[in-house]
Amino acid sequence: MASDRLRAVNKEEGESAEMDMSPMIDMVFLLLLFFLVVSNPKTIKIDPSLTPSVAEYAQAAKSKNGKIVVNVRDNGDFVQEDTKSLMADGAALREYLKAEKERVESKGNEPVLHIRSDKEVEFKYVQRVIKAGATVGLKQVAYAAFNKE
Amino acid sequence: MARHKKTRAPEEDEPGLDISSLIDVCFLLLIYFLVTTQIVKKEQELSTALPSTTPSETPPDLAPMLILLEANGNISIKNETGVIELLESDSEARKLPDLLARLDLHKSAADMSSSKALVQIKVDGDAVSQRVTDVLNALAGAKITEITFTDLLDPEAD
Repeated sequence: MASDRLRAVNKEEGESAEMDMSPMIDMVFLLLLFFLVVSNPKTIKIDPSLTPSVAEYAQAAKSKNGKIVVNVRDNGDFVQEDTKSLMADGAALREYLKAEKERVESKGNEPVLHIRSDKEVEFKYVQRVIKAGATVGLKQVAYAAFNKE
Repeated sequence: MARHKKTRAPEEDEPGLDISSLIDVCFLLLIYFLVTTQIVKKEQELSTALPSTTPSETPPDLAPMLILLEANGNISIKNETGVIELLESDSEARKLPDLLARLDLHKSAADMSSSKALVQIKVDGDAVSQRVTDVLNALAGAKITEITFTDLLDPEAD
């Protein structure tokens, strides 16, 4: 008899203990909206056909805005950030850098020449990119590298 | 008995949101992303000031250090007396302790004279990019950012 009563009491208590999830869901949506608004989705497209060099003291970029990316593959090909557009010669390279510099500056950002060169490519090809950058008036250059092998 | 039933009826009719399906979907999405995600190594960068193509009219207070990089990976410097001194000959070694020590000295001398530590690098065009990065890495380790590639004025480099 007593156990029946106790069971009945426990049953009633169990039914009444429900958590109200609506404030949590509200908070989750608020946080989602906040991060959607404040996040900066600008990233650099990675050309998977090349492996950058390794440098222990390489650091994370201070800003991802203003990057003018040139990929230098192991066969000496110059490729734009979209990883598809090949630049045949120095003139095409200069034209691309000049157009990109103007585009970046029009947005109020400081242009940075970002060179992603394969670790096995001969440096003369990288020199061409550096010289083309200097010719069009780029002042900063960044070399992509991994921290570890 | 009948009175008791009347008081309980409104509580049972309260609408409740069943979130178990939401949790199911969340776990399914979590497992999907855990399985399909590929971890990509994060790329970092070595930043330097791009060298000018026109020579400066005013000479710097402290003479720039000249680093020579040969096609076989040998790294030498031109010391104060003008003698070429071989520092690193193992092209497979990523760390360059002797070069880093000399660069630290150069940087200290520049700091003491309140001038910028300038470095010129003369690279053989056939040297591989990794070896140049090793030199730039040593420069970054010594906190030197004013770097000039002397071969930029070479007309054949275009």
